[in-house]
Amino acid sequence: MTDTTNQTPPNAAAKLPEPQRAFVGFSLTRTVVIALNTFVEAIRQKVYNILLVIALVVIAVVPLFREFDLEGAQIKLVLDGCLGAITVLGLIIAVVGTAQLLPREVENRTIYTILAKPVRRVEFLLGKYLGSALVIVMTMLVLVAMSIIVLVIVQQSIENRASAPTPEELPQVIQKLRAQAYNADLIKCLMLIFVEFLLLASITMFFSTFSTSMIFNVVMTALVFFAGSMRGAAIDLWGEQKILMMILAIVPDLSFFNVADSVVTGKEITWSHLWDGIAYGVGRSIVFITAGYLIFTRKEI
Amino acid sequence: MKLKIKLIVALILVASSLLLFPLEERIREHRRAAFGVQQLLPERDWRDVVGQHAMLAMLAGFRGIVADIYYLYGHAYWEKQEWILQFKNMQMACRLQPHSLMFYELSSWHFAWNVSYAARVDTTMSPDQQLKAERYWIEQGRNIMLEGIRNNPDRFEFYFYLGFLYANKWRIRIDEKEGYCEGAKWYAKAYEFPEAMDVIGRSAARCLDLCGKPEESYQYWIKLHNEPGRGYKQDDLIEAAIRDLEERLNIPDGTRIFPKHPPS
Repeated sequence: MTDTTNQTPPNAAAKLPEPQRAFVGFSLTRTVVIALNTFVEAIRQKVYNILLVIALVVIAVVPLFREFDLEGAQIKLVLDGCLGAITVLGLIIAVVGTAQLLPREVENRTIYTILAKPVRRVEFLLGKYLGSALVIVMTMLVLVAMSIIVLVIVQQSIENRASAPTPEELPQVIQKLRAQAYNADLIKCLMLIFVEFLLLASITMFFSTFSTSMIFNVVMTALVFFAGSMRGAAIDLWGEQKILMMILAIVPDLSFFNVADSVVTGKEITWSHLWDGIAYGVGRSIVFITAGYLIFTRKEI
Repeated sequence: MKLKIKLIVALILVASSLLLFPLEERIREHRRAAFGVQQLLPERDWRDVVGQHAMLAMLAGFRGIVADIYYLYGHAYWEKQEWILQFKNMQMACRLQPHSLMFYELSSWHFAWNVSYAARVDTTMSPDQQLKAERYWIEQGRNIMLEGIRNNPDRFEFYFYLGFLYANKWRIRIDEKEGYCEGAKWYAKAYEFPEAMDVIGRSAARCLDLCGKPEESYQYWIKLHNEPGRGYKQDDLIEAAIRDLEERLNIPDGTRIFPKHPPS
């Protein structure tokens, strides 16, 4: 009888073949499907609808803050109020809406189902971000539409009450009031606000790739928002301190997108400023999404 | 998450910041040129007026709304006749929106006209105190407009309103000659801008005359006469003023713009 204790089992040298994993290329279709699904889910949420209603109510009550019968002051108040409401509430919707995308998927375990399919993580991440961007677009369209309605109503009531030293000068006075209210630079201002929302959504997405807590994502983005908003003032006041400036450089300068005050007080926004701002915002967003992708790709879910 | 990935991510964030730095500088330079530098907290007394929530709102980029609220507060204090609180709030609104003509104009008007008059008729003070308080508030109105000019040196309206304050308030209640002379100076500065109206130029010329400088006034009227005008030139007024000065200054008939006896 032979001793088989130290003998190698038969066929041990022939290793089992590696399971062949089919290569899944990047698919824009899958990304768009995920984006649309994210968009539909987001707008069906009660939190989003309540925030949107609050934003619309705030814009609607802005004309109630009447000063007195100085038409220029009234238009300025309405413009400041509308732009402020769009900025604040749009910001909340953008950040809160994006902050819960990944954590909710992980919490509900739906992310396993999705990633088990031939869906690449980059498609998933990009789809979620684009879905959030669609929510931001829809939010802005609704708020801007409401703002236009309010502005037109206020402008009409002001024109009906307008007066001038002589009747011949009345058309000039009305023209001046219309130029103040229907300022083309407001469109550029809104475009920059939109790019700012996209940037903040990308920052929120970046944080959510390594944090599963929605509150953490919101708070961190809020801190970046305040730091970014103050960066412009910090550079004006302490620009000579190079080391401080180098540390601050990692935070996007959000004051670039804050042109509402200047537009309302009659300053012009040039096209080059607009394109530079958009390029800056899009560039920074790409960086944060790329960084988030690198983290998310190697994350064990 | 592995250390390698963390380092790569950090490197990407830092490298992108450096790559985008030239674009940031370009945008910053453009904003400085177009909008000016908006100082946020240069003085300690700002903090005495601005509350914590307002400070946060300002820092987050909502200066416009905070400024509007402070202006509304200022207006409310005006209705209650609390002048010091009105002044602090309106001054803060102007500082928060340093490019808002409306805030500077209205604030200056309130103090130089409304509050100064209220001080003059305040029966709780002696006549000397009334005059002193009136002068104080007119000066505050003047100072607000001077601050507006410092923040907006490229807008003629600020110079015009300051000239108007001097020519119509200062000269009546404080010093007539100084009012007309300073009025002429600021009207002339406003008129240097091509978008300034014709009436500003005529006001400058008239104030020069009333300031005791008829020769300079005469030259200024001639300049206005020779210009093409900016919409409402009013040649008849200019001609009447030139004729009047040529009489008073005894300009020889041969050198007059409007001779009494035109050559046949």
